[in-house]
Amino acid sequence: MADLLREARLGVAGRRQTLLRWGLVGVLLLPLLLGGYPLYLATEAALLGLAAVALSLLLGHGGVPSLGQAAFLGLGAYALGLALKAGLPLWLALLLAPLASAALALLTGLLVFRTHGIFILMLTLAFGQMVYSAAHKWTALTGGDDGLSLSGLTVSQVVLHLVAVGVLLAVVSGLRALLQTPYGKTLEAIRQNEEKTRSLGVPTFYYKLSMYLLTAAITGLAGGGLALHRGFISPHDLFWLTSATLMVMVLLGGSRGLWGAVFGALLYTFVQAWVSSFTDLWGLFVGGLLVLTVLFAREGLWPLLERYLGGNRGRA
Amino acid sequence: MAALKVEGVSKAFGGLLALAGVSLEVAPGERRAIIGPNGAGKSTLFKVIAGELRPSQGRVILQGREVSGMSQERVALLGLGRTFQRSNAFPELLVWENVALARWAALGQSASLSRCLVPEPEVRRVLEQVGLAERLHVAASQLSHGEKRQLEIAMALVQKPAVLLLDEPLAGLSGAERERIGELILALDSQMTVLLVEHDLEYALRFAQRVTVLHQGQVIAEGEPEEIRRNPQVQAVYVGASWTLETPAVATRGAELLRSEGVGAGYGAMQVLSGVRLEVAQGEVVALLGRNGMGKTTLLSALMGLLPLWEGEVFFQGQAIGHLPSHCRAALGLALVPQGRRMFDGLSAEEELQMAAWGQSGRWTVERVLEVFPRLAERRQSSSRALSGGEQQMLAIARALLRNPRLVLMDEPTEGLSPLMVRQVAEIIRTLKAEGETVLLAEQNVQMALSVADRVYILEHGRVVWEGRPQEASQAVLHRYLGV
Repeated sequence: MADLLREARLGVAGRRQTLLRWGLVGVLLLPLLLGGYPLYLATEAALLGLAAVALSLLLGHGGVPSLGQAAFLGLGAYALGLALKAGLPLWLALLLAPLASAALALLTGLLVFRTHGIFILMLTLAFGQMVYSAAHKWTALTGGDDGLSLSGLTVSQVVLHLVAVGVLLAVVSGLRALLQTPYGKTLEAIRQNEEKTRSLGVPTFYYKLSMYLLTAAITGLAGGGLALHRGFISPHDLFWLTSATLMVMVLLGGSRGLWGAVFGALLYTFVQAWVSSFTDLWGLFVGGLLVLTVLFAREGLWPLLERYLGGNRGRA
Repeated sequence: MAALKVEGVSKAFGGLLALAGVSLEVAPGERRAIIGPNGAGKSTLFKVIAGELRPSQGRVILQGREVSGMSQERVALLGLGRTFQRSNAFPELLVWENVALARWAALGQSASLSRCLVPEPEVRRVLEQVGLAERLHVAASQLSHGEKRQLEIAMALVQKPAVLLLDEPLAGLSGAERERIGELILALDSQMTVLLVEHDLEYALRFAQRVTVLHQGQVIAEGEPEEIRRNPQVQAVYVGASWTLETPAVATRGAELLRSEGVGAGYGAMQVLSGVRLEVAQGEVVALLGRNGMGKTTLLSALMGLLPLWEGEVFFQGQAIGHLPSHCRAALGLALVPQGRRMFDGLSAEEELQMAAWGQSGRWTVERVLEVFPRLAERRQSSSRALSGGEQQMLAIARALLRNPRLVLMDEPTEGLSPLMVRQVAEIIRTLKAEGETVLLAEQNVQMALSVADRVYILEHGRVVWEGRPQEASQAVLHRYLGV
């Protein structure tokens, strides 16, 4: 009986939560009616959201604090751009973007996961900056400071946006389902107590590495999408500040449950555009917002919304 | 074929030999207790068996298969289960999720993506067995101290290990919880081979069919519980030998300095101390004995004000101080030398002393301290981290003295020190006594403590169970510890 009541309560809360999520998707889709700059921003938010979701899985569920996500984002972008330049079809270019990032993740991950905690942060940061330097200096390939222009390619804004939101939804649902499998729960277990997980007979190194590859691939895909969307790739997007921005998005929205990352990316993108339209002190504003979030909504703003609008008092 | 065989295993950490050629053989289905005083190498032995540490020498053979050198994941999959001394498993996952994960791990299918994790009948059965059936859907972090141990055991059982290592499953538990977990372990499947490390000797000897006694990394005795109980060598290890007891200058007891009345304290929901009454008079060295987890550190913390009192009162020079914050108690003249010495990185010995002496005035100055501890004067320029354990202990005590305290509380100053250094520490305490200092000394090294003490308290399960003179204490300790 107690179980039934519990499930019934979860049922109501669950429905409200679902509504809240559809609301978020609605906000992402709404700019389709407006077109122009709002639509541009919304696509930007959806694609950055995709990268933020990957980081959220890595950071919030896997406990891996990566400050090198910009490299995966940038490598995906360059892979797509160079593939298109070489005359490859778009579908193949879109396939190469995640593969390139995953390959980089394999190389760096073998080293990164020999360490823990703050050292992971430093190593991912170092690898990220190495990729940035390469992109910046290897002018023959990347165009250096001039960037890489994808001119001549016409993808409809509307189609691109619909695809971006579609992929985002598919990835979030897919990853959330993944988190319910033994594999996903084992990832959470590793974050909470790696020694114990190993003593149970789980080779944790491979779990962390595989998760790292998966999130790098998603980030690479997001990078490819951003390149298509912006029509231009600048090496400066590979600078570590982009990684930090992704982390701020995740922390603002909430690092658990993946929907928080989507919300964080959307909030960040639109508020930044809005605030920068009347002041240059955007950095000050986001800093303040982050301080408030950490002080009063440590789990992030999305769980806060879920609690007050979604009627969820339990776990996400 | 033995379920587990350890052949000549040694393990060195830097210069310290934690295990020095340990061999043992455990038959299938056997109940084996491994006992020994603190620092004997029991936990290190478990870590080597489990593959967490690689032995410097020797082999570990699990069910006829050499496992030394394998990763602990591999050893676990080959049938070795293990519970940890301090574990809260996966605190954010539900109880059944913890157990289900352990089950999938043992099946080697943790990477499965094709289904959701669900509470299968097997998981429910094990949770029922350990008495957590009601707590299935609770996050592991919500469990009580004892329930966490039950969960830990459930996670080991669901893996159906051939050999199970239990590392101090009763440590830090009290009363009913102790009883419950103790019964649970006694009722484990008799097919399973179980090794137990436990400081509660009474329980360990009741549990075991055979007992192995470790001391300073070596097996000094092995046999049935009754033999072990009567073995003079084992008794000597627990009480120590070759220490001459001081004949204290009787009668002239100074004025009362510290007194606790009915003190109770604990952590979270767990009460560790109850009704502790003790007295320290001016110029006295009082020893506080007790095995691991009996509440010695907790008592010192409560006296110092690092832990709030739950009940009772502490009087210092007649003044009630039970509710003063610790810095006020320090200002009144209480100083704590914490366990583990805690040196500051990058400071030299002399700098450590100068830092402690900052803003202080009184009989103890840096010069005076260096005079009393010439060894420190020799090493004054060395980085404090580079000092030997005994020298660090000396430095930690000197630091406390520089606050010119009226009462020095020492928490296990001989912990992790070699016998030679233990003697050094004893020498220091005698020096302090000669200087007229008052010391409350919590110790595991019974004989060392008795050799310097004027009076002795024995603490058991958070209560004072014996008090008296050091001359009578040996007998009491033997009785309390070994049940002789």
